[in-house]
Amino acid sequence: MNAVAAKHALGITTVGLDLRDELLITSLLRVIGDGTRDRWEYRDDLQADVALCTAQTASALALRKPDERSRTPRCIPVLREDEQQPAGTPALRAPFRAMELRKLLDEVSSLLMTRRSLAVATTNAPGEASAVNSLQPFKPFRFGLALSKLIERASRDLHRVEVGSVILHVIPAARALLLTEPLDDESLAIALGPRTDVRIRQMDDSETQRLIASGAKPQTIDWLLWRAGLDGPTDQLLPGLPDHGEFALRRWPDFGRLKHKQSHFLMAGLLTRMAHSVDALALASSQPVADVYAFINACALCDLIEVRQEEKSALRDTTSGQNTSHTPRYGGLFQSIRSALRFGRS
Amino acid sequence: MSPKEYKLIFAGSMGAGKTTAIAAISEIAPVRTDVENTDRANHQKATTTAAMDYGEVTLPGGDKLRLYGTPGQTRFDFMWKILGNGALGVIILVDNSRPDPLADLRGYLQAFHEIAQDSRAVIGIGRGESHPSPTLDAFHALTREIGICAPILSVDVRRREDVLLLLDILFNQMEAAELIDRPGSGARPQ
Amino acid sequence: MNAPLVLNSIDTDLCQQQIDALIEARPEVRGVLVSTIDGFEVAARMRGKSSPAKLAAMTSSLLALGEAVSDEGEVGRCLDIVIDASAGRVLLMDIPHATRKLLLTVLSDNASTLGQVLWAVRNCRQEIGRLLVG
Repeated sequence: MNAVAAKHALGITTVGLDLRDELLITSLLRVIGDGTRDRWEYRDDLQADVALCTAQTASALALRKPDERSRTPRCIPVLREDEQQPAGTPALRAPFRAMELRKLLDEVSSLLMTRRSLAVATTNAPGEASAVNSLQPFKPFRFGLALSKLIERASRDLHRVEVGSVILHVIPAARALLLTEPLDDESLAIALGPRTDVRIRQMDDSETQRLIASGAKPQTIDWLLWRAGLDGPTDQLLPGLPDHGEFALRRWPDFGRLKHKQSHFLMAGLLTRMAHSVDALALASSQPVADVYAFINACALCDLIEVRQEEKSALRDTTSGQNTSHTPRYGGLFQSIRSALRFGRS
Repeated sequence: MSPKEYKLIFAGSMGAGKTTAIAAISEIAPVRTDVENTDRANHQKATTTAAMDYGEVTLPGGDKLRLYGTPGQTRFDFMWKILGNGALGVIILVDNSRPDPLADLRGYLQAFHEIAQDSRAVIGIGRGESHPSPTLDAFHALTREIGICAPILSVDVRRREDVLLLLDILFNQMEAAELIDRPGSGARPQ
Repeated sequence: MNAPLVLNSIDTDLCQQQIDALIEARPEVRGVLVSTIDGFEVAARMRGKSSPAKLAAMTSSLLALGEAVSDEGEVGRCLDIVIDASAGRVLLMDIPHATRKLLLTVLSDNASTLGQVLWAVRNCRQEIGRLLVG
C-alpha cells in the first residue's frame, strides 16, 4: 500500500576507515542488497553522496569550507564503543550489523531528500496546528505515528486531520473517528502512503455540530491505527520500538473489528502469554518476519504493545524450536475441527 | 482406536445468542429445551433455554465435537457446572444491551474460572454497535482484575463467520499456551 | 431476582393450600413445590434444608430435558419424571392447565410404594389445575 518510489542510485564511500572496516562495509552492502529505500553503490572517490568516516575525520571535514564541487559527501561518523554520537547527525556504531547499516542508509536517504526538496510550506491554520509535515520525504508510518501522537494527547476537542486529499475528523480523548462516509480503499492508500503530507488542526465546537448534523457518526479509531501499522513497511519496526527488544501484548486486539490474518491469532496468543523478540515470535508462530513486523507495528499503534528489554535468553530458548520438537497436547484436534467447519489454516 | 468426543460450551446471558451460535455451526438440527419465558419484565424473549442446547460437528476420522449451550440465568447455574465438566473450552457471550454486562461477565467467569484460567475461554461481546458502553477496555479491566487474559471480541453471532472467529481464536489461544507452557509434552490423554 | 408475577395472590394461595393438604395427608411426603415452567418458585413447603428456588430451576431443566428426550425417542409428550434415589424419591411433573404452565415437584421418603405416592400426588396436581382461575 506504500507509494512505491522508483529507486535511484546513491553513492557511498569510506574515508579514513581501516581496510578491515572498509571490507566489512562493502560486504554488508552486498548483504543488504535491494533492502534499502534507495539503491546504494560503493564508490572509491569523493563523488559519493555519503562518506563513512572516523569521528575525527568527520569533524575535520565539517570544518572545511564548502568547495566548488556541486557535491560534497555527507559525513557519517563511525563510532567506537566509547565515542559519543555528535548531535544532529546520524552515525554508525561498531560493531557493524546489516540491520543498523540499512536503517542508517534509509535515514540518510530521508535527509538527502529533505535537502533536495524545494518547497517548505508550513502553512498551519490560524488557531492551533500541530504535527505538520509539509515536506514529503519518505517517512514510514507517517500517518499512523501522527495519528497515535494525536490520540496520546487525549484532547477532547475535534481535530481535522488532512492527509493528502483525504480529510478525517478525530476526537482524541474518545479515540473516536467521525466519518460522514466510510473510507474507501483508495483514500486509505493515500492516507497510509509514507510520503503523504499530514496536517492536523484543532477545530472549534461549531465544526463538531456541523459534522454531526451532516450525519457523521463516531466510531473507534483503532481500526485505522491498526491498518496504518499493518499496511506499513514490513521490514522494520515502528520508530521508537527497539530492534532488539522483546514485545508483549497488554491484551488481545479486538479481532472482531480489526482486519486480520489467521496467523495473527497465534501471534497474539503467544504475546499475551510471554514477551518475544521479533525473531523468536517468527520462529514460534512459523510466520515470516515481515508478518511479525506488521503485526507488532499494528498492535503498537493501537497502544497494545509493552516493550521489555531483552529477557533471559533461556526464555527465548523455550520458544525456539518448539514447532519441531514436541507433540502438542491437543494433537491435530484443532486442525480437524477447522477442516470440518472449513475455516482457518488449511 | 475408538472415536473421541470433545465438548465446547457456549455460555452467556439470556438473549446473548448461544442458541443462535450453536445453530450456526451444528451439522444436526440443534436439540433445544426452550420453555415459555414468564419473566418478561427482565427480558422480552418469548422463550428461554431451561436445560441446554445441543449441537454436533463430526470431525475427520469420526471424532465428534459436541456443542452445549447453557441456560443464561443464574438460577440455572447448576447446569453450567454439569455441562462445563470436562469441557475443552468455553465461549462466553455477553449482551451489551443488558443492564449490567460487566456483572454478567463476572458471573460467567467465576462459574468457568478454572477453564478461563487455563486459557480455554474466549469472550464475545454482542450488540456493541448499538450499545458501545461498557467498552472493550472495561471488559479487559475486569478480566485483568480476575486474573485472566482472555481474548475479547466484538461479534454478531448471527453471522457464522463470527462464530468461527471465536472458535479459531479460542483454539489459537490454547495452542499458544501449549507452545509456551508445555513444550515437549505428550499427546493429550483422552 | 424476584419471581415474576405469573399468578395472582388468590391462585398462589390456592397452590399453597393444596401443597399443605398433601403434606399433611401423606407423612412420607417431605416437600412440595409449585413453580413456573421457566424455573421460578410459586409456592412451596419443605421439611429439611432443600431450597425451593434451586429445586424450581432444576425441575424446569429436567422437565425440559424430559421433553427433548421424549421427542427424540418419539414417545409423545413427557408427562412426569421419577427419580428413585437411595433414601427417597423425587417426582417431577407439569400441572395440566389451558393457559398456566406450572410444574409440580414432590420429595418423599421410601415409606410408601411409588404407586401410593403417585396416586396422592396426581390428585393434588389435578386439583391445582382444576381450581386455577387462569
